[in-house]
Amino acid sequence: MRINEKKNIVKLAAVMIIAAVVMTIFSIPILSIPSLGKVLFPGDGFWNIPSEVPKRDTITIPELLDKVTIIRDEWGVPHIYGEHEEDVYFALGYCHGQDRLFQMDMFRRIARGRLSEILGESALADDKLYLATGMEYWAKISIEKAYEMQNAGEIDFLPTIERYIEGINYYIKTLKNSKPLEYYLLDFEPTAFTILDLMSILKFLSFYYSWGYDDLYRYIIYDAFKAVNESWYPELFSYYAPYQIPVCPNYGSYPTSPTPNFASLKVSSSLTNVVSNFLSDIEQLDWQRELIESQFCRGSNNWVVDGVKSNTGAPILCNDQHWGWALPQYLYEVHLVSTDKNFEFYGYTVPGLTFPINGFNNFIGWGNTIFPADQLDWYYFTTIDEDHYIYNGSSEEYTERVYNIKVKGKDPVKFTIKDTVHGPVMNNILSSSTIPDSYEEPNLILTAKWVPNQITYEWLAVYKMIHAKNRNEFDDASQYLDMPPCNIVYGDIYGTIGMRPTGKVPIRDDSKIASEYYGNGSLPYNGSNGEGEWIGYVPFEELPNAVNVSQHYLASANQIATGPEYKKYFLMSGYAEGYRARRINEVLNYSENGSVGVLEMMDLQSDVKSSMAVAFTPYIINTVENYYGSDIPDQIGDILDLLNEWDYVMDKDLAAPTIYRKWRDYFKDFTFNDEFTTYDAVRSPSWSKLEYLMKEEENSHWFDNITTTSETETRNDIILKAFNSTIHWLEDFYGKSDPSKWRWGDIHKYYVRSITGLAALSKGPYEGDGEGYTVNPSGANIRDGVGYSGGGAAHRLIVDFSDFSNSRSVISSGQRGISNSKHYADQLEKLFLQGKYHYTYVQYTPVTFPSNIIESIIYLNPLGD
Amino acid sequence: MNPENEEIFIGISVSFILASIISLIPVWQLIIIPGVVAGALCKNLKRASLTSGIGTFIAWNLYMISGLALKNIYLIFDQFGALIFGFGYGWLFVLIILLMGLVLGFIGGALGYYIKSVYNDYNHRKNNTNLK
Repeated sequence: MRINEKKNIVKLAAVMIIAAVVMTIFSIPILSIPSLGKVLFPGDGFWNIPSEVPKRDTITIPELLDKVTIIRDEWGVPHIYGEHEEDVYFALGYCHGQDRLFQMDMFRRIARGRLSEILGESALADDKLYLATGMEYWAKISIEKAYEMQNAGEIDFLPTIERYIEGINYYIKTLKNSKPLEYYLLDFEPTAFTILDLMSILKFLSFYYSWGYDDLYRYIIYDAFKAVNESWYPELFSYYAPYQIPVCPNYGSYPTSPTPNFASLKVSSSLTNVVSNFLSDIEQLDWQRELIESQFCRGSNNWVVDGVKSNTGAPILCNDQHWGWALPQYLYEVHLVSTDKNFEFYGYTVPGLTFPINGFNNFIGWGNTIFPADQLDWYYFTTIDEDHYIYNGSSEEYTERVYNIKVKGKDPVKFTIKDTVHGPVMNNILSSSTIPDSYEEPNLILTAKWVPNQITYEWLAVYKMIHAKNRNEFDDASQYLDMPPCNIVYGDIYGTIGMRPTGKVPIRDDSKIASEYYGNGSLPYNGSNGEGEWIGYVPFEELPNAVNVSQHYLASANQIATGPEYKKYFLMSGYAEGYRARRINEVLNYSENGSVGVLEMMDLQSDVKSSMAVAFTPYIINTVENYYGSDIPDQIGDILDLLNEWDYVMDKDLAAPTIYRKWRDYFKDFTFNDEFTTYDAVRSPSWSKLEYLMKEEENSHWFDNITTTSETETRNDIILKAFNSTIHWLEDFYGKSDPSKWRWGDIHKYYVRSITGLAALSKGPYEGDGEGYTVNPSGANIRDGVGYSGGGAAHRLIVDFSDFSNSRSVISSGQRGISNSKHYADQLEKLFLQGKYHYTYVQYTPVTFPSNIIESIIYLNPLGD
Repeated sequence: MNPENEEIFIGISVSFILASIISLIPVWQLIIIPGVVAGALCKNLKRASLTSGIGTFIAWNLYMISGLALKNIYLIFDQFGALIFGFGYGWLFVLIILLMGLVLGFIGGALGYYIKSVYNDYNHRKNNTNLK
């Protein structure tokens, strides 16, 4: 070999090494971020992310029966027109795939306990919890029942659901190497959807609204106070939230101090340990902790005025459901038209679910708020060994469910859930503790009995609801709505308005608990003693119901469902504190007949006047004025001026909301923290209970600070102490002593988080009006500084039954979950934050749809067309 | 056109065309191939590297322009940048991609040139051995 040849070989080797090094550098993932080469370089990764939908496209789909036209309007909302309902839903599945694929994937993974497969070991505890709750298990059984009904000829629309799923899967097939950004970041592939995914997501919807740990937290407080003073717990929690204006006005109204409905039970140290340990396990899970802390996000408002109250002569119906704000939002707008069933509907779907959950057709419309019926009871059992527990005095064997949970980068994990007569054993699933195997303390297990853990028919309910043409048909449909429990507000073109709290509410047998105990499932039951058996469900006809009432409107905001004259059944242990309901009722009640129009309803949905501030602020002013008399220091005088001139609107540009809000936190802390901290009670009482004490019991012992033995504080002492602390804190936070500079918007922000949790894909912070208890809610914790509200209205809908084309809608994100799409957050930033809406364009057909608002037309054609 | 310019023109064209085609294939490592092919067509190392680098660079530039104009890809880069550095670094990724097009083309060109040289050396030695 010549020297020159050797040199060339060496140089070639050197260049190959350089090439290999460069390629290796770009092939190495950086922490959880995929390799730069894979995601950045043309031909792969980010370049293949679907962006906007095509402006014009024609797709041949052999599975279709006939043509379908999908028109996207200026907000990316699909208007789907077809001859056959099944084809229309195929197209809806296709659109959900185009716009919300990753979101649907996450929904099904949560509901079916499959997050670890893509997120790794860190999500294992979440998967275990979700599998234990039984969502997937009972979804499977509900599907079997649905097919049984289809085969027996009782229903005929399961093919519609199947076609919807085919639509999603068709879209996935067309993706080929392309996929949304989140799939690249998490490095996994979209896979086909199944009806089990869909039914599990439906169960998950109930999890969001009706699963919870309130009974257990109540128990911890109950236990903490019982040893100190038996009356403390009932004083604060017997009637959870006073001053309620019931959802259904036809069952009387409450005085300020209604009949207690609290439960009580014997406490035992082993139960306290089991409950405390379980709750501390649960609080380790980010999402569960958020669920516990952000309960105010899961409210909603709906109301309807009749043709007498409205200025149109026909009902106007409004709904805004409150969820955690998310990008994309969990709701998806759609307009569906199929000629075969003379069907037209505008409303909101949850991606991954076939049928809209609220909206309006050509005859009727409805909106939902959560009816906080108690659908979940916790039981404790004494165990005998690993396979048996005591039930009703005798030995009972556990049944088992076994799962192999796939974990990214690891071997699958075998997970066994033990089920009892009252649901799965929950307290051993997250910790390393196992079921106690001896008949000695600690020998208790904790189980959860939950309404969705049975065959449920909400899928049948929504199908019937969207097709209903009058109140009777709608009622017939509503009876199948087992979960989640909803206050359903109703209106139609015939002038009928209605409100019906609906859902499967258990009837408990409390005969086995001592007579002085109230039961009702608001605290854990002793399952081994046979306490709290569910002996049935409240019959649909006996649930509260209000139609065409004399006040000419109906409104719900998660407050108590009925007044004291509804005595048939116990419905709920907890409910909203009622401040939103107060404001809505105030506005509608004082609106003159014939004065309420769509514009007024828009104002009310964005209303940020705080009825809580109305209740509390005068007490601050009076107490401080009385304390200082005529010798008021300048700064205090300025603050009082701000509060006196304030109209209680939580406007981000004002300082008075900041002063009130900060004072309110201190007032509650100074009233209750001494007792609650001293005795390890984990949750403080409701704001309306504090309001009650402030108004009715000036010298209540709760105002006395038990840590200061030398003096007895009263309400006014606490008001003043809170006021002084507020001034110091705000001076310090704002760095200014001039109270007019303490702008609310500087400390109260909105933050809309991407469902990935990544700041890069999230929006905000925005300066925010309102607070957690205004009609337009945005609760934020400002104890340690700037508070970021992560939840509020997910959508706003106004239906004008005199002219559907005048109906308005908006969601708090955009239609598309594709982060580089112009519809990712357009409704949020251009409409929602300004209190604006878009029209629904329901009056148009494919032929008449104005070209200036058409963004895209996609024709789906059957084979041979 | 003199032979030198002709070689440059052919080198750039070949690497540009191949880079444009290969960029449609979702395996980014293949982007070395256009440089290798174009580099093998050149008679000296400098021209091989330069023509290959420039051809790939132009192809990726066009790809970038179309991505920015039609697919809003810049926003994705910005969002991706925010995961690593904070907001506002989309431009950095645009720069990295274009530079890497240049560098990978350059390396590919050198690789092609030396592969060809080693192959020629081998053939040359084989022919000489046969003659003996």
